[in-house]
Amino acid sequence: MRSVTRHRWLAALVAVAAALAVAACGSSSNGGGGGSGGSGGSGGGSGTKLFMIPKFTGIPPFTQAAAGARQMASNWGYKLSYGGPTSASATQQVNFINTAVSSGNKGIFISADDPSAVTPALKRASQRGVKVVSFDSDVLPDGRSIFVQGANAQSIAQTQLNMLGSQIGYSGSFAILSAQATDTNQVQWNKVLVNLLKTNPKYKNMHLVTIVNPPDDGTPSAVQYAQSLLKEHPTIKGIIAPTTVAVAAAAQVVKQQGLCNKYVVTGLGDPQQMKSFVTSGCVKKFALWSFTKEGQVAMCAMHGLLTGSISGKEGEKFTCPKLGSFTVAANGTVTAGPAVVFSKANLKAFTF
Amino acid sequence: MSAVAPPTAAQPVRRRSPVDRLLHHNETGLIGLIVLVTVIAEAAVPAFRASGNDTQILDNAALVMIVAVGEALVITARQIDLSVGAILGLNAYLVGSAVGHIGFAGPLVGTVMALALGALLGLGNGILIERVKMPAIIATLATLSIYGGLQVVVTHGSQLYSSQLPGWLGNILSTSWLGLSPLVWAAIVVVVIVALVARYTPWGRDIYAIGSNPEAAAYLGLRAGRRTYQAFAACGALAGLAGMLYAGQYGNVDATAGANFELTAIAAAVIGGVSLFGGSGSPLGAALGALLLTEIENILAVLKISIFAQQTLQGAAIVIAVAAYSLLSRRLNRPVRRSLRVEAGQSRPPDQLAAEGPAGTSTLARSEPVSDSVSEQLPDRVTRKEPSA
Amino acid sequence: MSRLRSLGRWETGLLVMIAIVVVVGQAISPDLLSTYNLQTIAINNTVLACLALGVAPVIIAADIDISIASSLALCGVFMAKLWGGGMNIWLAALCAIGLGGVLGLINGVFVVLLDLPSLAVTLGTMGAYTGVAFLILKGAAIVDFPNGLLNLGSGLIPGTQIEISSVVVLGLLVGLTFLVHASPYGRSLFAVGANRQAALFSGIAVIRTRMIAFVIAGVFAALAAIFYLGNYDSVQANIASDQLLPAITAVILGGVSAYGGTGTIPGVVLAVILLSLLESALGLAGVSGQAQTIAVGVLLIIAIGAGAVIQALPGMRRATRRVPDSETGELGVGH
Repeated sequence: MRSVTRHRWLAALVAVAAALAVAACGSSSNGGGGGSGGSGGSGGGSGTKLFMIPKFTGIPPFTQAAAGARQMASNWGYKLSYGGPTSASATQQVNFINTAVSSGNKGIFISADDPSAVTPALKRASQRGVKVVSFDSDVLPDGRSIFVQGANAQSIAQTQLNMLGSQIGYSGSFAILSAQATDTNQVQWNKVLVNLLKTNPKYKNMHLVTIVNPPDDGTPSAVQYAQSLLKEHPTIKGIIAPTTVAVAAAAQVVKQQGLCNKYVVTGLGDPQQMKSFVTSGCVKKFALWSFTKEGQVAMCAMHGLLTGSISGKEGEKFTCPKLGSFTVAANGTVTAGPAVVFSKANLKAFTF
Repeated sequence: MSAVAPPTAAQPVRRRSPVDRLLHHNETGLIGLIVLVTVIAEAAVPAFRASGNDTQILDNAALVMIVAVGEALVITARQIDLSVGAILGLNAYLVGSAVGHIGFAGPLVGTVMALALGALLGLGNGILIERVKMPAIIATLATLSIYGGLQVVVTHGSQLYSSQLPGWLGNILSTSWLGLSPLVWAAIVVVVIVALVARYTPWGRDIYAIGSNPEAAAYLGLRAGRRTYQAFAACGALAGLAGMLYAGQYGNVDATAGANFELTAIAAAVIGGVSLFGGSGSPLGAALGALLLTEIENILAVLKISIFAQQTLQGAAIVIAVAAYSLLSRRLNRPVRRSLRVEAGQSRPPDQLAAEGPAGTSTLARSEPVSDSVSEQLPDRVTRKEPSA
Repeated sequence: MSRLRSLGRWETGLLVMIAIVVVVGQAISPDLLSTYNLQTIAINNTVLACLALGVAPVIIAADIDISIASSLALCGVFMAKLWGGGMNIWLAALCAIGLGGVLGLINGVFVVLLDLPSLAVTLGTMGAYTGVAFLILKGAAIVDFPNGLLNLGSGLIPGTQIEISSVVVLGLLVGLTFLVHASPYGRSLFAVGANRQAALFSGIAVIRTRMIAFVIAGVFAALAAIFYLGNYDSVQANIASDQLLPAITAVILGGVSAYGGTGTIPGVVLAVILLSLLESALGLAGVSGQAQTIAVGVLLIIAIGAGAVIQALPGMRRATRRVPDSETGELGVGH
């Protein structure tokens, strides 16, 4: 029996070696062809393949961004594919990056799950002539040429403070119900907001009591942390929630407890998701930019990069059909548009 | 069927004092622990006393309770179901959308739909385990991938909004019956029914018997296969029901709904004293475990213990709970234990050991000498795999 | 004996499936076997290979360890923190390996010495280890590791197209293969996994054997952490949590019985190769992420189902012997 066992694992070990050898043969035979993809970059337009990788598939903002990019891509005849992990995963995103490069895509759009972890793979892609545009959630600057954001951090912070301030007379204490502590977007916006509170005299009577980070980005956690927030700080006048999940969760909690008149809930929310809270009067104002537009602008920037009309340097300009002209700001950042403030009055007009 | 008494009421330790007997019930200890934690928290944490906090804890625990009692049934039958989170998410979207679109679908129709769809998905697990002969942990790992993938497919990258839900479901938390929300009542009804079925029906006793000692159960003529199907269908049905209620509780359902719910449910069952070795523990214990887990989460959230420390504390709680149950049951059953101590490799709780005879031999004779069964097993130790309990 | 022989065809089956994936995948998209694609596949699956290799002995011993991904994160954070504090990166890596061993030992102490179910214990330590990693980093990330480490993670051997990391993994594979299949320890491992009672009564140090299996899992998780840092050039407290299920999938797909007692280490690596090639082929064919997720689940069912069918074919007697297995023992549940 021992001999049988030994024979077996030895054979298996040989099998692994054989599999690797096959792989190596394949690689050497195709070695020449692999490098040829690097030169493409001057063309752009018809038939060129592009790939969009969201943080994860299956949630509306990214679906909308993809729809926007695809619609714009059809203007120039690009072929845009959309795909990504089913739950937030940097390692999976890296697999998608590599697949996208291997299958001959000339441009990659990405919204990063972990900005630093996907950057090495993006650098490898750039070395092969692939252009990278990040959107919504940035990667490290040397991993991409351009970052397209829905709105800049300064205006997001200001809009949020104004939405709250106008409802509480710019005076009183409030709290922030944010995303999990590893989400770079929210961390950045909150930092700017805290800074604004200190420096801008307009907000000098507004007092931030705490920033709460739930342990994950799911609705159940956000609900639970909204509840405990109100218990611990029953005297606050309002909550700012800079994520679509958290603002809906906070509104849900306030509504369920019948405290709509006591607390102001505002932040960044999905119009469709917030509709019932706005119609019932529980939420007066919230803001968001159009993810469709974000996707469209990202596509225009990609077109600029592929045709060589821009390279991602500060001050460069590119135009987007029907949307006008956009300028690359410091650090290769492009802002797609200001956040729109929603209230009962204009909610119906927007269906993005 | 009733030849095998449920192990909770089994008679391995015959001469126990009433105190011992009371202590032997995990539920007693759990309720004591919940009361103790509540009293300490009330005294030490002002925000914990805030009005409405207690009902909020119940609201937040309700879904975990429902899923945990289902998981308890499966674990008691010495199986496990890792796909409950995906079943919950799939149901939340599908049933939530369905009741929203079909005007006449009231609570009753919705509940039936949720239970049926959940049972169907649970049955899928049962087929893989009984027909394809896959180990439960692998089969449900596979269906976790499949059902989770389907969740993304059916949601189409969109989501279900609270405004699309019918009133009875959307207001499941804002209504109050006798001080508790319909959601909590639903959980209570589920827990009571499952606990009674597990404790007092032949079906429940079969589940315990199969979980304690499948071989012996088979010799007694119990249909292990059929019971496995039924346990997984029941577990799936409860996860499905929890899915529909999830839609009502949280309003918005996207492809991530239910993610990691299986781990919470298993943790609740483990903390509630359901043994992963099968055959011991109770659905009521699992429900209390869910309550305790949620209460601890609530206290940590109110205390603003760094969210980073929370995972550590919850992980530690699970390890401490299993260790405590194991030590406790060993202490209480020491006389029996000693006679069986020879098989140090044994890792089953002693009350099942006593019920099934030493070394997993297929007999119910409790007094069989250890050495006999051992000598039987010695000859071909590697090639033949005996049921090593 | 006969059972071992029939399982011996498992690796052949894996090779056949790899061949099918390669042939079909190459027909759909000729980029599957391009140098770039093969290199990136190899680099990105090093972490998975290490985790799968490490947890295989635990599963062979009829236990389970679901804390491996959390151990990876904690070891990675620890290593980065030491390096950030001025320690040489390789010394830090060595310390991380030590920590990995300790984390495995902690699992072992609870599971083996206190006689607790491994699934419950490692479910607990999974949360605990990640939590500690969070406590150390507080949501921040550490990036920009020295070139030496990056080379190990994603570099090529100078003058060739061969990845350094693949060579190291091959070395680990050979080492672990000899430990598990050609050493006295390996013999104990299989004996313990096949029948813990019988192993004990035939004088095998059951406790030590199982403990060592957990330590191996911890050490390999630390090795995976080193490769993770080298490839992704960053570390956060929640890294690689998505690698747990693929790692266990690979072990089972590699022919290790979930009931313990059978399986081979090279088989596990073949399964990693199969899974990663399949993923790449599906991606290149334009299959969506959710369809890939479903495909892996289906593949797992087909593989185990086919295994059961093959076992049933030679004669009904052997098939019936397998039946009690599935009823009596569940992975991490029955033992």
